[in-house]
Amino acid sequence: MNAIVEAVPGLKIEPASKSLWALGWQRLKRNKVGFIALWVVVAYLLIAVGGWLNIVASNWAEEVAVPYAPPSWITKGKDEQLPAKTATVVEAQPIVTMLPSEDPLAQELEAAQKNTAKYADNSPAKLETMPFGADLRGRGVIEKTIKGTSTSIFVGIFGAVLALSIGTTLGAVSGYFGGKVDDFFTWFYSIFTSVPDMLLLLSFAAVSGRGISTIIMVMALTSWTGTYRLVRAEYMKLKNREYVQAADAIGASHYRRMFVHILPNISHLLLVQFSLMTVALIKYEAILSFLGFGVGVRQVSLGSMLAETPAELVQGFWWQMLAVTIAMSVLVTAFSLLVDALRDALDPKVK
Amino acid sequence: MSSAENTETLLSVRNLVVNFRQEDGEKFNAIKGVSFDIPKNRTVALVGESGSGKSVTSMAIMQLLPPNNTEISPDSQILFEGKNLLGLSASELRKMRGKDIAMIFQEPMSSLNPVFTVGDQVAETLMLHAGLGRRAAAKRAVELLFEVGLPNPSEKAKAYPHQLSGGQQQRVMIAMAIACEPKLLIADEPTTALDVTIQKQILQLIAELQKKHGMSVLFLLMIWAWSVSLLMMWW
Repeated sequence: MNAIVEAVPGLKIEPASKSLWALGWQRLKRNKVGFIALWVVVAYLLIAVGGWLNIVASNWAEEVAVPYAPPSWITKGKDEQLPAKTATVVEAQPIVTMLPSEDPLAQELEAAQKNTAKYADNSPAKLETMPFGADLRGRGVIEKTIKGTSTSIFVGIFGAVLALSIGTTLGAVSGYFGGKVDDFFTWFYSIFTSVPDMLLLLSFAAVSGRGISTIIMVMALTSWTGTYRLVRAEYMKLKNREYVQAADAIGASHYRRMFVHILPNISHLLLVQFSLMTVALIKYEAILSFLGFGVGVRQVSLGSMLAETPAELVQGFWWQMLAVTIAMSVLVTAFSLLVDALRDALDPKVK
Repeated sequence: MSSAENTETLLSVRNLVVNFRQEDGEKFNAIKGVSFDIPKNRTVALVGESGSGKSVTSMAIMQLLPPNNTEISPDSQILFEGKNLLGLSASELRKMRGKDIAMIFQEPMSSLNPVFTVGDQVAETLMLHAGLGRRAAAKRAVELLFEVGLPNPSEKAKAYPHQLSGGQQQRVMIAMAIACEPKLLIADEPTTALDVTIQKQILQLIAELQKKHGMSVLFLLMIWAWSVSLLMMWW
């Protein structure tokens, strides 16, 4: 085809071939599984954004139900149900009978009796059941799961962005300049990766405490290594390409060549790497929170919900675990399938 | 090739010696004392088979040789308008590359960045050196693409390199090179990767542009036949 185009000047083949991204989008659309996965991920992202902006599940912390209220669609057997009892006010009988004049507390008690209406608990009655059950403090599992998913995605995405920027910057500098600079960074990388991942993650987390921002920092600081290696290799390959030399010949600076000329050429790799890392970090966050190094006690994430489940399961309250498991496995599966489809769609070598 | 009326020299290379450092610490002497002059508004051709050091000479003039494994002997001189290029700092060189001395590479396909439209790439030189804004540079880029004879330039400016043919790509490279009206244009075998009819068109184009802009051109060629036809074209 190319030979014909070159041999006959002016010959045009219609329609003109598309850019990498347009072609990638077309190929992604052809991949049914990938395309469905894309929409699932988009739905999750919408929920996540809604969660960050407090549009959905902003009331997740309200204790609306009785502790461990079961899902409303569970029907209990008759023998499991307790007989309905009307609450009665039981007058406490004084143990020792004293005349009011003898009792030192009599006056205070009398005053208290008068004010009972003032101190009465006027909050609405706690719900007996919730659509998907409630947790220990009577918070709805659905709201909690939505908010938790939102937090987890937030942590995953921003952790991945940060890890990617660290890895890309170091990899670019290392691969582009080579020599001593490369030696130094590779040496640093080797030492860093010689420590087991989980150990590194836990020690960073143990030092820096809990909270969403620290967990993002911790995960970024420990998971930039894969990106570093990938980007370094790409830069070593691309820096000798003629178009980079040509950029040098028109007087572009090192910075410009690194980030304006070379970086866009590996953007498809970075996109795949970003999605992979988001999935990995969502899982890491769950592990960290499960081990108690994760989000703060006032926040909720899939991991911190999972951390509550062992105590619940022994008592037979399984709904929170089910909700978290479904939310997380659908998210991770969809994300992984999307990454697969993206890699196929954007890599010109796999056609 | 210089004629009597104009003997002013633009670039003179004196005793250029380039060594490559090898893995074992030995030096490989690639260029053994080359000297030549390029007069203003004239074309000079370096002819030689592959491996004879033409490209290394041109890269040495542009100072594009990788600094960690090449060395240019301290006795060498490359005088551009009387200024020794070998003594310039990196930032001074950067200002000069693309503005005073521009280069056309052998392989147009690999010399164009695959992820940018050709219009953007022509505009980049203008933004770096002529201080034009994005919009002005884009407009000027289309004019340049028209000047190098690209059909339908405003459409083609939006095309990516792989959407153009080899000859069109080389025209884009030429547009990039002449964007800032360089005083010296180095054409490193600009036609090697193209087929014969296109080769002729490209050589003609460079000849026309040389006359129009009053540049000096340093041609690096492998085949005598082309140099002969080149001489025919200029005389």
